[in-house]
Amino acid sequence: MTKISGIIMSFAVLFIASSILLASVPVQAEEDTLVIYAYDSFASWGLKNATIPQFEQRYNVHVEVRTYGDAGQVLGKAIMEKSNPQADVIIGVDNSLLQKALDNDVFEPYTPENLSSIPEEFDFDPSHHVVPFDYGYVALVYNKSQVQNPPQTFDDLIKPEWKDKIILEDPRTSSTGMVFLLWSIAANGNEFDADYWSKLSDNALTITSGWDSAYEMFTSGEAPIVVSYATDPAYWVEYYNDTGYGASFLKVDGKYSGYLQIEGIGLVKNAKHPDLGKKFIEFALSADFQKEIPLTNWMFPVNPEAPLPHSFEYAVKPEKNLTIPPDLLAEKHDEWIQDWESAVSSDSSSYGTPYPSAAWSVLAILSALLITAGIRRK
Amino acid sequence: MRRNYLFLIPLSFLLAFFAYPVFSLLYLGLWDGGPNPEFMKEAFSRYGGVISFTVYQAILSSLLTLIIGLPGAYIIGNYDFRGKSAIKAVSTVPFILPSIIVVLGFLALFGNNGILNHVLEPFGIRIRILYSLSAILLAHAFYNFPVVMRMVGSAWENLDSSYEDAAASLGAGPIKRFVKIVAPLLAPSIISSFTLVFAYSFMSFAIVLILGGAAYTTIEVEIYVLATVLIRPHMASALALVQIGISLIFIWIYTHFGRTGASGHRIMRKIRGLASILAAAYSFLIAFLIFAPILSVAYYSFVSEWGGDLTFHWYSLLFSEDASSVIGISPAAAIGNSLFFAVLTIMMTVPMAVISSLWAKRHGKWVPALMLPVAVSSVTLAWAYIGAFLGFSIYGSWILIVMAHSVIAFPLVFRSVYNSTSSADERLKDAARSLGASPLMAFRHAELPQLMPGIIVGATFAFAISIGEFGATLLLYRPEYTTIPIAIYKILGTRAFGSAAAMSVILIIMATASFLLIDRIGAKQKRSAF
Repeated sequence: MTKISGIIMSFAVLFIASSILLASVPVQAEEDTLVIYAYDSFASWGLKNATIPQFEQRYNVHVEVRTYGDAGQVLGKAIMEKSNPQADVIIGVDNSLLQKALDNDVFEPYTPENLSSIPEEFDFDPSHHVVPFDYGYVALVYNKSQVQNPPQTFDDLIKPEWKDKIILEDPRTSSTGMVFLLWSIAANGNEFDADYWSKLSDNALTITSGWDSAYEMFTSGEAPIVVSYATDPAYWVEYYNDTGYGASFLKVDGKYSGYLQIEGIGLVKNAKHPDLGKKFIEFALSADFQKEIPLTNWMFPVNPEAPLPHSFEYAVKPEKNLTIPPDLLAEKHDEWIQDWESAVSSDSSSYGTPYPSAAWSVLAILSALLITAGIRRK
Repeated sequence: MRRNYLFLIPLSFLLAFFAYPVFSLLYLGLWDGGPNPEFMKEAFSRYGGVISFTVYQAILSSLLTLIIGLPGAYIIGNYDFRGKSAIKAVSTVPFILPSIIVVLGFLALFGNNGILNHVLEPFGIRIRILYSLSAILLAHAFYNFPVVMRMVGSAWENLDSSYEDAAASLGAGPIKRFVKIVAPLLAPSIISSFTLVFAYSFMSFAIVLILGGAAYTTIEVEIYVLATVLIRPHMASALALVQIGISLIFIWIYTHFGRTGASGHRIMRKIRGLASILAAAYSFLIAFLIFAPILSVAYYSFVSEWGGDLTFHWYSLLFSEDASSVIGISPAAAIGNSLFFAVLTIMMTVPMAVISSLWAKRHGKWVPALMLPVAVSSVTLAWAYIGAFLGFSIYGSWILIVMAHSVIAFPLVFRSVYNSTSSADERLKDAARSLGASPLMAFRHAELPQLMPGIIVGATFAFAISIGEFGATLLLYRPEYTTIPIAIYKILGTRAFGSAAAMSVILIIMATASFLLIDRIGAKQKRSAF
């Protein structure tokens, strides 16, 4: 009797302890809660804390921000949940993800009044399923103490001197990686070069699933160059007064060129709180929200009224903007992703050694042994 | 018998949370407005490389695991020496260690900025094994070698030495004795452990996802990408079916060819001379393999950087506002969630395992059916849940996470309890009944105590699996249900390795404390049973 009640008691204690811990998490009533899906760095880098409380106070509502990895993963989650939408607003769908979002019919068109104050060049979705809230450039970010002369062209990146020195991101999961892939395609006359990417993936240290982990590897010294953002040098100056980091674009036809990335925000189709969601999108384009973008999201605000901090003098801009025409992007997007997959996948290049046949022969021997063992038993 | 009705509980659980989701996978993978074989065709054409790489790395991992584990099996199976039980106890550590901790340990030990590279720097040596196939293989071997060591070791321990003595007296030399007697008798246990290790490596997720990088995509990672990023539900399901198919083949091999040898009496030798030096070297190697990654994680959680001063900075950072915004909830709440899920998993699986074991004792041929969930990987299971439950209000709630943990843990818990029913004496219960005990009393006082050792082991498994579970939770969680492994993954994604290490240390301490607690209850139980 005592033995069993001992076990039950200890389970009960554990159960109660964890329930108390769980209960300490405030549970909000669903009705007046705006649910926003965003990429991880929206929260971890501080834009969330700089803006959400303002909105909550202004409209006396609760906002729940749920982050799920990179922008691609966030959109993926929303598409998956299309029949039972959990989010009201999605932050972070950029020009490379836009087509996928439109194809899957995730968003409800909405034109906020203050969109008129945003320069037309950023209005990347004429249908306004998604409206722009910030923009930036992907660049090669390097540690100046280890790299004096950064690579100048895309062809430099596959040279032996940069072997294992560059960290890339996976375009399937990371919007940074996607923009870099599009950049390389735009630089190559809008053609995907499988041979180039196969060499590049061999030459790179690794291809991470998200920008965050790539950057963490870069700062912890795993490699001196990472595919990241043109505003990174400004970050190091702002927080550490450190001018030891550089960002560079790559030359195409003799001019430093970069791929313009525009990030957008959109109202989810069949959202539970569409009116609140619309108010939030309006708020995201207002100067109150926009002025927080440079020092938290490390992108450029689309609203020209938002002031830029001094450290942004260190952020670089390209001599030439590259973009892929939206209709071509829509047509080729999936094909490029699949071509990229086969170009970098391990079965073609990374283990072109005699090992595979060795492993297969071991498997053959093993199965032969098993079969004979099976026959003998009978 | 009333007990047969009780079996409806585990049966309906398995039907609702295992069979039905897997059926929805079949539907998605083979059906698109009508029977559609296109997705299966594409699985073998476009993803053929991924499939063969997955099998390939799993075979290499299992071979490497055999190479590391077999010497240990030999030592355990042939020698008596001080510290033998310690080696056996220590070797369980990797098996119950959450995979995310293994990943972190490898980063801390082998990373460019890891301990080994700092130690070897003065000698001009740099190790670069992360983000390569070797990292995946080493991590799998580290995770699994205790399986080989213990399974083959215990078969060797029970291998009757009289066969070899007889052969020796007839003039057979040591090599001939090994080839003709020892090897054939050990083969089933070697096959068992090989197939088990193969299954784990074949379905491993966190290790491949984080230590491998994009160039090394396995079926499990590809399903994750197809399901969550590329949004190709049919394709993800088709690939999941391929994965289940291959696992079923190996489970069939496991159940048909891999049996642990018969128990006989083996005379243990005293260890001396060269053998003792080799055994000591081997023990040192496995102690290094087991403790170096964990200690590296602990080290990085207590210093600001390599060679830096002792600090609690990372721990205090963990309980600051910043950490909460990275993780989505406070780390304390993540710890609470992990405990909550683990305790619920025990409460779900243990009673059902007891009911199923008593039932399966009379219906032995159904045992393999109850073990079927092992053929489904965690990512596949979670993906099946999304397909099966998306339309229901249960989607997005914590209940699905608990159910996923329970389905993953159930086969192991059931196995542990079922093993102890085979040694249980039915007559005790009958005697109690004939003396007037109610069925419940007879169960509690005559039957349950005999099952207790199996229940304790099963509860330990349930706890270990739930608290370390990563793949299924990653697909099913919402920020408010973040568990410790998810929190570690999220922190790892930002710049704070120290904080991730600190969180891991907390997880290791919690896991160890719980095992000691469960073990203590078990020990008490055993003592009072006599």
